[in-house]
Amino acid sequence: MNKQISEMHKKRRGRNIALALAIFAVAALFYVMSIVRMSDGTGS
Amino acid sequence: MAERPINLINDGAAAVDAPKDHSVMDFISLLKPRVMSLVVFTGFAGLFVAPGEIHPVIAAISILCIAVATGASGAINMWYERDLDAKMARTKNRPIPAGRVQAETALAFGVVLAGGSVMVMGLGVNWVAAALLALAIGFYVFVYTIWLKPRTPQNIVIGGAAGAFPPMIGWAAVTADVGLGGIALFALIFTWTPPHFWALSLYKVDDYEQAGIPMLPVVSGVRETKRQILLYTLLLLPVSLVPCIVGIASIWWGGLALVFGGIFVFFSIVLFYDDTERRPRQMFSFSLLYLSILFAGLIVDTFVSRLY
Repeated sequence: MNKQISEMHKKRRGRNIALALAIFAVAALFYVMSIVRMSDGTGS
Repeated sequence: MAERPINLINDGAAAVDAPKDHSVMDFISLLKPRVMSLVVFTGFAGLFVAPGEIHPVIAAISILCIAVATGASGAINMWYERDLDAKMARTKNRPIPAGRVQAETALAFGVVLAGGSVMVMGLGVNWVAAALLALAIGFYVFVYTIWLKPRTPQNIVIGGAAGAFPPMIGWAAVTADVGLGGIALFALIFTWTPPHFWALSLYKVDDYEQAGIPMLPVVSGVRETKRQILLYTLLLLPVSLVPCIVGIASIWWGGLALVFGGIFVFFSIVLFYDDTERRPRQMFSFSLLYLSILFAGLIVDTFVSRLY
């Protein structure tokens, strides 16, 4: 039972890290996109 | 409080009943990476040959959006066809029929990626490219997967339009317009798709028959399929010259298209008269090479013409 719970916690942690990375990647993408568009003069 | 497995996307009762032992690779395979590579390549070609300038970062975002949207369509397709996939040897080990990913999880994954890719394309690149991307996803999911594929042997002819959109989207990312060049590249892939898929369906005919999918060899027989393949490869010859006519490719590229188109026709004639098993596989492999060579040639041709 303890082994099952430990395994479940491990998987949950893995999913949470994956989700955090995805959110960070999207935020970085929007940041870069905004910088590029503003420097191109098309950001307004 | 009792612990239970949590599904981040669908934390409902189903997650309790059916905890799946999925991995990152299962989600990557939901995106059909092999299909994605050719789509990304043709999308890049459309972007590269389009007149005008695009910031390299915006170009990379455009390609990323095309790749993600293609993968999203694949995931939604796998969700919808999970019962059919379970019946076919070629697809029964996919993540959903194999039980490694829940159907609802795959659907949510696909929908989120599809919506995200269109939104990023619109906000970061332009809304014409975003609209075409949305159209391509919608066409693949609703027109091809849901409507045509289970109903008519012409499914791949009309549904093939979905796979023809990427170079047009790449073109629109640069020009914010559809343009003749984009249409020419669309027509090239649109005409290439039927012989490509029918070659595959010739050696997977038992699978399609078992799953009840009305592919041309199942409905009209092997002979008629081979005849149609020959007709489409003949039609592809003039269609492949349209990029030269509309001015996005040189006469040299036209020569390349004629030579490889000629070989494509030759293979389809051999396929028509030779009933040995290896011919359809040979035809399928050559069709992939044909499209890769033509689009690689187009990129080189454009690069050289910009140098001189």
